[in-house]
Order: sequence, then C-alpha cells, then structure tokens
Amino acid sequence: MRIKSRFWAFLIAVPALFLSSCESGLDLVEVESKVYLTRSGAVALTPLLGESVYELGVYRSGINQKSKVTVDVQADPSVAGDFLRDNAGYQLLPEMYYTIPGNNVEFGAADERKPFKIYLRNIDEAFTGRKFVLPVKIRSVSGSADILETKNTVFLTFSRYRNVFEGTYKAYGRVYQAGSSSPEARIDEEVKASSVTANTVLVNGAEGAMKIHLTVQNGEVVVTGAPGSEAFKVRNTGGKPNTYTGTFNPAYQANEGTFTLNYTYTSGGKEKEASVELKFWL
Amino acid sequence: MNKKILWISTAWLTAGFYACERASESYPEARTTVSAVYATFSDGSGFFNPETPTPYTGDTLKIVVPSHYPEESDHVSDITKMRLQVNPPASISGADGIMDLSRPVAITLRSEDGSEKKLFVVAKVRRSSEALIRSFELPGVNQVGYLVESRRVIGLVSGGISLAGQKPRLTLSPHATISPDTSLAQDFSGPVVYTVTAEDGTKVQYTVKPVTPQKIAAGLRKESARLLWTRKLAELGINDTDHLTTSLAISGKHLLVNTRNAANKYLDRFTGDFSGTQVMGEIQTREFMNFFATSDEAGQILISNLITAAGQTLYVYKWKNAADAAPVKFIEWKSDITGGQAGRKFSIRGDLSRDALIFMGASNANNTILRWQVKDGVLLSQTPVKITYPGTNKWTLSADAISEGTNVTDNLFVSGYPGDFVYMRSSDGAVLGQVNLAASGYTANHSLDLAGFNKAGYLAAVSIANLNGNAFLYDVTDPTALSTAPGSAGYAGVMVYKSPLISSAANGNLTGDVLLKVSEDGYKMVMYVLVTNGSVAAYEFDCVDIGSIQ
Repeated sequence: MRIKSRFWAFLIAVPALFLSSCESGLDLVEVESKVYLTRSGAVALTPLLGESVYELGVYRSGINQKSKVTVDVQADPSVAGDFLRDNAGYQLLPEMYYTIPGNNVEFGAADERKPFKIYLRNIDEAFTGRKFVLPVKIRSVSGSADILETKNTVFLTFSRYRNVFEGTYKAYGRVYQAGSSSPEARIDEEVKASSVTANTVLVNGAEGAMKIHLTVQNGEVVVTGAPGSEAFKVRNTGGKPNTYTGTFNPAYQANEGTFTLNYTYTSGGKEKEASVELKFWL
Repeated sequence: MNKKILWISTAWLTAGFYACERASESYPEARTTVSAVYATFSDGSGFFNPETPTPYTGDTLKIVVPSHYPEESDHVSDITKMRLQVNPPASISGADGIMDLSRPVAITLRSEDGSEKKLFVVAKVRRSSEALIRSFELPGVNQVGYLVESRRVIGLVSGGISLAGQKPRLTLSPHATISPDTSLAQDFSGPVVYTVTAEDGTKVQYTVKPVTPQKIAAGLRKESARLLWTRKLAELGINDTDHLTTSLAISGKHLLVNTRNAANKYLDRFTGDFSGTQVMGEIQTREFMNFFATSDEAGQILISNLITAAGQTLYVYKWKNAADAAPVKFIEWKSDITGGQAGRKFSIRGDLSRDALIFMGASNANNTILRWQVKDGVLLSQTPVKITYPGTNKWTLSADAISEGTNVTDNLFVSGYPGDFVYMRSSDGAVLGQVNLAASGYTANHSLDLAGFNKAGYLAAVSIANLNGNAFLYDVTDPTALSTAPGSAGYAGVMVYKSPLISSAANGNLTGDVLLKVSEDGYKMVMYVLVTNGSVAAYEFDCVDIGSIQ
C-alpha cells in the first residue's frame, strides 16, 4: 500500500515539476522589443464607397517586455519619392480622401499588436481610373523598443472603389436551350464580382467568354452583357425572377446576399437560358 | 489501475502542452464601420457623400448631386426622388423609402455605439463647371490635335498637308458648348480660337494652331501609335477573294494598291479614300503582268512581272508617280536562275534618281537575292548581282531584302518564307541578328521595309496566315537587337509595335505587304499594311514632344 501511494505521488509530482520549470524558464527569458508594421512594401486597398476605416497593424515583438511603448506612425508623403519614380502613373492620395485621428499608437505592458487607424472618406464613383499611394511610416518609438527598419514603411495603393456587392460568390445553376426543360450544362463554380458602379457588378456569365453586368435596382436585378460580351445579347428572361436579397454585414464590410438570376443569351446561333443563384461566399 | 495511470498521464501531458505554448493570436486587418450617411437615386444608382465627412458637427448635411447622372449622359438628376442610407449596424430613422431631398429632411442617425444625432439632410444640384476640350481632330485630313491643357493650346503638326477648309471633330466635357460652331469649316493653317462654355457658364478659350514642336530624344513616341485608317479591299472596289492584290507602293500623297492583271488603284494615303487609277502601260503586255509593285524614297514606283523559269525575261517598269501616264521600262533581264522564279517581291533602298539599290528575292532553293544598283540616277547594269543568304532554311517561295543604306557593302535585312528573318552582313552572309519567328508569332514572313525616323531605325515586317495577317515594327537602331527574345525584358524596346490582326478571306498564297513612310517634316511615320483578300490599314506614329508645344 505504501509503495502504491509513493507511486501515485511520483506520478503527480514529476509532471508538475516539469511544468513549473517550463513557466519559470519563460519568466527568465527576455528578448528585446522591435516594433514594425504588419504590412510592408506596396499593399493594394480597395476602399468601400462612402467612409470606412482601415486598421493597419503595428506589432511589438519581444518576450517579457513589461514597459509601455509609444509608436509614432504617420502618413508620410516625404518617403514616396522612390515609389513614385518607380511606379509610373501614381500620385499621392489627396488629403480629401483620408484622415488620421491619431499618430500615437500606445502599447501597454501586455500588448503585442495595436491598430493604426486610417479613415478613408469621400469615396464615391469618381474614385476610379487613377492610381493613388499613401505612404505610412513608423517615424519614432519611445520606450524600450527599436524600429524594425525593414518593416517600418507601407505604401497603401488605391486604384478604384468597391461597392457593397463586390466579393466572392458561389454560383449554382443550369443552362437550358430556350424552350427545353433538360439542362445542357451545369454551373457550379466560384465567381468574383467586381464593382462597375455603386449598384452594378461585373461577373463571369454562363459561357466561358461571357462577362455580364448585374445592376441592383431596389431588389430587382438587370442582367446585361458587359463590354466585349455584347454579341451574347444578354437580357433578363421574361416572366422569371431576377432578384437580389442581402444586407450589409459589418464583419465583412460588404453585403452578405444572394443574386437569383434568370437570363437569356445567344451563343452559337442558339438562344439559351441560364438560371443561376450567386450566394455570397467567403 | 492501468486505466487511472493512463488518464492522469494524458491529462498532464495535455496540460503541459498548453502551458508551454506561447500565447498566439491571429490579427486580421480589421475594419470598423463608420456611421456615415450617403444618398443614392431611387433605383439605387449613384452614390453621393455629404460635403462634410464624419463626425458630423453641424446639424445639416448637404449632399451635392451632379445635374446629370451619369455625368456624361443626358439623364437629368432628380433630387426629389432619392434614398438616404447608412451601413449597419448604424441606422437612420425618418428616412424611409424615396425622399424629396430638394428640401431639408429631418433624420435621426443612430451610430453603432448607440448614440443618436438629429440632422437635416438636403441635396443640391451642381452644374458642371468643366469647360474642356478633351480631344480634337480634323477628320478631313486625318489629323489629331495635340492637346496641351495647361496652355489651352491644341497643336497641329500637318506633315505637309493643307489644313485649310477643315471642319473639326471635338469631344467636350459633359454639357459644355463651344463657339464658333464646329460645323463651320475653318482655316487651320493659322490660329483659330474656340470658346468653350461650361454648364454653369464658366468660359475657357482654346487656341488651335499649327506648331513645330521639339521632338523627343530619339525614335517614336510609343503612346502615339494609332490606326490612321483601314479599308477593306471590297470597299475599294477590289476583288477580295481572287488572291491578286499583293503589294503596295507610296508616291507623294498616294498609296498605290497593286492588283495583278488589273489597272491599279491609288488612294489618298492620309485618309484611305480612292484617288485614281494608274495607267499601266506596256507592262500589261508581259507574262504575269504587274505582279508586284514597290516604290523608292522619292515616290517613284517600280512594278515587275513574274518569271517562272530560267530563260524567261523579267521586266520592271518605272512610274514617276502614281498618276504618271507614261511609264518606262527600267529593267529587262533574261533570268539564268535555274529552277527558280523571280518578280514575286522586291524592295528599293534609296532614290532611283540618285543612288539606290534594288533587291529581289528569287523564289528558289538557294536563297538567292538579286541586286541591281543605281548610281546618280543610272542603272549600272541590267544584270543583277546575285547574293546568297547562306542559312540552311530555304525560303523557296517569297523573300524580301533591304539594305541599311545605298552602298553595296551595307548590311541587309532578309526575310524569306519558309525560311529565316535575319540581319545579315553583306560581305560574308554572317547572321548578326535573327528574329525567333515561332516565338514571335509569325506564320509566313516575307515583306520588309526600313525607315530612319527621328535618329532611330525602324524595320517593318509582315506575318501572313490563311485568314489574317499583321505587321511588326522593330527598332533596329541596333540591328543586332533583332535577336532579342520575345518575352525578355528588352523585347518591348525592340519590337515596338505589333498591329492588330487584319482578317481576310482565304489567302492560301499567304501574300501581303508592308511599307513605311516618314513625313516630310520628320514628325510622323506611317506603317501601311496589306493583307491579300482582306484590307489595307495605316498606322501612324509620331515623335512629338507634346510638352514643348507652346
């Protein structure tokens, strides 16, 4: 019996000792802090129409750093020279399109990552067809930390807006020859919807070379051929629904919704009808 | 007992892994919602932000809407039927459905943090203040104006064309108007002032005038490439299925289109419009009459017949220009090329009234190039010198060659089908540069032309397939650069332009032609491309330093 108790004591005590040593070991290790931006180099952003907030991550590395650190981050046009020289056609993002509420990013003792907020404003349908850059740089750091020089600058680039319908969709559907009830093709694919106007997106159509515009008008959808796909003569199928249902999801900063589409087109001299559902897909 | 041991061990091990793991967390680039109001038209189109962004400090939000939407359309904006929205989780009350925003509307904005703010929202229509000329052309002479917006000047580089009596074609900013009336012809050989009036009454004056700007440092301005005109052969009244229209020649303001067995038509080379019919003269009496035509730098035209065997006589006739009614025999040579044809294709380097070299690719299995020399306006011999391209690929069918200059020692560009496309040293036939035909996308390669333009050398070449064809333009300032591999970093600096495919009816002979012509003032170069049974197209390039236009 005594042997048995000792065995149990051993079984419990040894792992406990092992674990406590593990913790003590971590307490003793110190690695100096470096602060850096979680994105660096050129990073393309597609801002939502209207106003939105982009949170650029500022990271503090290191182990067992207990002190507070303040990082000064700034939109800094002065570092854009090389970028503008090497990337033809870019210009600095005009100030009318952004504001920065605060330049200081404060790290508490236990903080590893903090956001640097950039408010993107006045984004409307005119925000397209140009190439903008907003350089953001860690200017200085106070407290017990150094700047990681290789990751202290990011060039946020902008070339267009996005509407709330832009995103990835899962497409399921069928294609029929007009008048036939037997499908001649199935649609089961992921499609990307990109913004054309505030209420229109461009997606791949039912044929390989077909691009279509989906225009949302108060829950109804008008389907038309995109430039280059005019020959398909795409139009809504009469008597069948073309609808959009969905609401803005703050988590995705986009609408989470479904297009129900019934459109007719011409291909290979034949009239065809596509019945497709596009469901928002992550 | 064993089970208890197993459970305890497992529990400790699991605890151990968790305890030793360093705290980790994923940090997506989060975005948060801004409680920002926006307006759309009643159908959901349009997107209009308030003049002042969040945080809203005043009690009124003013939303400015263009007078037309889309702005370039004639659709008048209706601000009495609009919708106000905000992205969830923020919300607005008092703004349900379609609203008349021509008068202030009271709403309550509830932000995502639960705070509320009462606001008035009103829309205002903004008339466009843009009074811009966005493009300017003189379609009658196929001229594009160089728009220097900062100086409100539109420069015209005529290239020797008369600019009198022309009606311009302009693109204005939306809803702007212009005076004087652009349907009235003007004399653009001197300054013409136009006043553009914006929708809101803003007035801006532009001056259109001939200019002699500086040229860019060297070569062509890549972004200047444009289709000057294109004409289907059928539009020109030329049969587009019989395979007989095979070559081009340039004379002054005319482009001659050679159609075998017929009187050739010539066009206004600046517009593509029909100008006249050539007097063919004695060549009509020869076997395989007017088989191929070409021209020298001065606009003199040579046309050959075709010979199909040794012992037959090759004839080449000369026209001073396209309208010359009295062509003269220029070459008469009894061929001694065994098993080969001649007269299918040839080129001239230089001016036949001064110094020139004439190159004709014989259609044989020996890659033979025939060369005649003109010195001080005199053809030195009726009998050509035979040059051999020593490549192992034999063209056997169609080949063209042209030299860098008018000296017999000048190196050659040679292109033969089926065969090679090379830059060849004349002294020994060594290949100094070679186009990778397959990687470049060639089908049948043959016709060439060479021109000096703004301190650079350009070589045009055709590729013809059964149902289409196109042309390539190479910068051969360094001719050895022809070897630059397609897809390599330097290729775009060598193959500077590739015309779109020109479609044709079945063209089984794979014939076509290409020519280059530099304007007298040196500002423009045009590449003319013929695809047999298809079309003739003209592509223009310039070397204008637009920033220098005053």
